[in-house]
Amino acid sequence: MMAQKIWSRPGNPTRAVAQALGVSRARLRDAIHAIKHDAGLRPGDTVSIWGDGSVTDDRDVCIGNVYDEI
Amino acid sequence: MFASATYTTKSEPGTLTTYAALRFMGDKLEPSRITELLGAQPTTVYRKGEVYKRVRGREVRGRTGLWRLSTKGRVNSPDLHEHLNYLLGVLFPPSDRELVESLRALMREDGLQADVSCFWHGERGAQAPLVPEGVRTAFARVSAQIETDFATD
Repeated sequence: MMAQKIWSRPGNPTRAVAQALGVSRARLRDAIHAIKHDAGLRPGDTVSIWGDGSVTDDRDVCIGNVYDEI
Repeated sequence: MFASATYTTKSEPGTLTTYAALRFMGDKLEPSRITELLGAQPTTVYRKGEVYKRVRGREVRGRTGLWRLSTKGRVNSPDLHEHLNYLLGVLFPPSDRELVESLRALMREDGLQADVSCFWHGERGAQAPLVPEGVRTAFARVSAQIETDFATD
């Protein structure tokens, strides 16, 4: 079953996104920041976060997974 | 330690996580040239189109070339300034005052861009750190803008 998209906006994901993934907001922000920077993106760029922890860029290409970073 | 920067503002208590990263990017980026020049091992590095990680069996390829040095795991301090100091020490080693000029030449030659990202997460109500103007000026010598990603619980 395909994971559900739980965030797709610029800026920092909310506390609800962190809760959905079962991680603290600090760890989630840290993971997203590192994934974006590794991928050549900037902090303000939009990414999508999926229920399985996957992170995709604006072309829907997977650039990382939150659980791999924490 | 970067001798010519002056730090007057310390991070307030309540910092949960902080680090900084220096990044060079460009389609013509040849990672080994930057590594040799700076004498520092990057955290993440790849040429344009190279696979740089695998996520759940899927390959992740670089949109462009990238050389990234993060202080996460290298500098153990809740003070963002110590993280920025580490990166400044890599760019401006006292033993090689010409390094930055060589780096600028390489960046021009290969059309590279540079930036510095600062990450900070604090407890609710904690005061986010300030990046001193002197630090911004120092990084501007390699045309590296500083981007901040600051938030609290």
